Amino acid sequence: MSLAVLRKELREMRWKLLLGTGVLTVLAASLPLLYEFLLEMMRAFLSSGDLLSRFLPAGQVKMLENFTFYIWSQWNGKNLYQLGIVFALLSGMGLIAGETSSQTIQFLLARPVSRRKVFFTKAAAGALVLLLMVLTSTAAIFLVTRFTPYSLEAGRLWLATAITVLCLLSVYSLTLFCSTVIDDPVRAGGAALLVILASSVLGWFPATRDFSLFAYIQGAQYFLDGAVPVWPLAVITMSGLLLLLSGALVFERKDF
Amino acid sequence: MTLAVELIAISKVYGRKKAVDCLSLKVPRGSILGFLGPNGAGKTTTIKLMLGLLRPDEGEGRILGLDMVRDTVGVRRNIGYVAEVQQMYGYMTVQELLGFCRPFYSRWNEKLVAGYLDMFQLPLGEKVKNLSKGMKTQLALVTALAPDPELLILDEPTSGLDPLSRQEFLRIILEEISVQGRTVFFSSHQLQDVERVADHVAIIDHGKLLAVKPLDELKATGKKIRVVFQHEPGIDFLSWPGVREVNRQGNAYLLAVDNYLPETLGRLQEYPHFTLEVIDQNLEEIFLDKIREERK
Amino acid sequence: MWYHVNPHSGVPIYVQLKEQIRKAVANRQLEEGEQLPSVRELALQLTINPNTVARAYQDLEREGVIETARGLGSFVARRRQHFGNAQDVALDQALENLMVEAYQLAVDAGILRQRFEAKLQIWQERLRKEQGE
Repeated sequence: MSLAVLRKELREMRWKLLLGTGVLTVLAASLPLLYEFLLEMMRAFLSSGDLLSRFLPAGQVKMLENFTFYIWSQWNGKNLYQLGIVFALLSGMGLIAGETSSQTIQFLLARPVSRRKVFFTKAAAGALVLLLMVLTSTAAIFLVTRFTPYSLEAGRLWLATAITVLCLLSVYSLTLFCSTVIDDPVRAGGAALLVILASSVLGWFPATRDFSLFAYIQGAQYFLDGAVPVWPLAVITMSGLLLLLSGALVFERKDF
Repeated sequence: MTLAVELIAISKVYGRKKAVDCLSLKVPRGSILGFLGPNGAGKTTTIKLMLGLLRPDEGEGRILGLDMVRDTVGVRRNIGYVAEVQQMYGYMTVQELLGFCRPFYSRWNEKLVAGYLDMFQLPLGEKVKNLSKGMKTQLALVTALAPDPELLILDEPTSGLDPLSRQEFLRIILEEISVQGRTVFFSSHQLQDVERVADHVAIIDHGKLLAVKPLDELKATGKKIRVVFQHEPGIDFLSWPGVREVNRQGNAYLLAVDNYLPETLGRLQEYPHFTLEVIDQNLEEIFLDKIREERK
Repeated sequence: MWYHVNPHSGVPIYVQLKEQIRKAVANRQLEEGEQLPSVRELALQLTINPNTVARAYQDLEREGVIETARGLGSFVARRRQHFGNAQDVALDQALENLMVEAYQLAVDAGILRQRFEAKLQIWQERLRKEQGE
């Protein structure tokens, strides 16, 4: 790790960090506050015998009576993973490609610092930014919940969030790899997005669903059934690490 | 004589093009080497290979006694580098950029930095992107000199400077060389600059090294003789030792002679002639000659 | 004294510098014992490589034109009565050049001798006058 590089990267990403943390935190904080409103709306639907109520399975309504389930379904099941992917792409795409396209990479690599160090410092800086966004916003849920009459099952929500973060980190790792191989940040982000989209297509069909990242990113298996999908998560983690290491190898051998 | 740079048969291939072709080069410590070549000759590629920004496909090199490929970090610790188009972090201020560079080095000469900042009148609080091209070059020079490097590598450093700043820039290089043992590797196509400050010259074209010699020696050996005979002598001058090229216009001959200048003059004197004179060749003429010869 | 060199010429800079100093010493622009600028000073003044200046000084020292006192600098040497080997070689070279030139100009031996005497007289008179002042 090079402290000088780390400081520079964090500085360059400070607007992304602020944007990501801001957007995610506002969404996160609003979830506990909207719970009451949602409950009332649902009860009104059910009692009115409205046509709509037929489309709401009674089981799910019952589950929504559970506050922790509500938060999980809105956060891990929706906002966090969707926006998390966007911010993972944003954090990773410029790290290498940004400097290659602006040619500042030559200035950086002319310093007496090994490429490996530069790469892993950059990787750590981006991961740190992504983690800060997720942790700050998730913590905001807990904070705001204190001002409501409801209580959260902290352990379950954090563990589900950990699973989501693991998946987001592998998306980030993929983006970083693309940023190393492709010398333009937008194209690098686009390439990573294409891979993610391909993975989401797999999720549409029951036969291939198990091979999609989106089958696991919400942490549903754990949260609903109590079983952590160990092997799939191990595969996702390993692919993330593999992409990270391949990125490092490509970076070390690349001509600038 | 210890060497600051020793490149042994390095090659770098881009697709089918050999950007650097089996290039070997020795630069003694304490010298200023002018690295000359037309645009696209492979100057920048060679420099990037030395810095470890590129990896050679073949060959090896030692810089300041360290392996160029295996110990590239150690090499860069003692190199100050100014790139042809120096892209620095534009969003940083001058002060921030210097602050960014500083932690990478074990030595950082504050006094020198302050001196040059003052001399160039670089505004500390100004963003790098707002500096003029000349000022950017000056700032790059300050960041290159600050760690007291043993080797200074400059890639076309004077190309964006007006004549006055160019003179100033050259004077700084000279000032720095007067520090014992410091070496300057200086690529340029501004031959006047090289003529002034370099003591060694290397000429490169199409990735190949055409010559590397002390400048004085290059000037002393690359001579031309103009001779106007009273009547056609009918000699094949090319068969004479040292005669490299013969141009003829009637009875007037222009001979390019590499060595054996006194001997050649002596032999020519035996033929009746109107004039016989030695023409000194300046660097530009020698340079163009070498390139022309290579491309033939 | 004003030093100047033309880097763009085909004559090596150190040769130009040497010739200039020798001429300046010969025609008393530089007095015996006068200090020359240091290698560094002169290099910076002319924006040329210090090694080039050093080489010119070394040659001049070998030829006995200047003397270098360690730590003090370089000074114009007192002209010695005795001819050293280097002076001998230099004189021989100069005479040789004169002969070549004369040959090319098709000047015959008699005229050459005459002109040489005349020039020597003028030169000595000039030196005498300057010393008398």
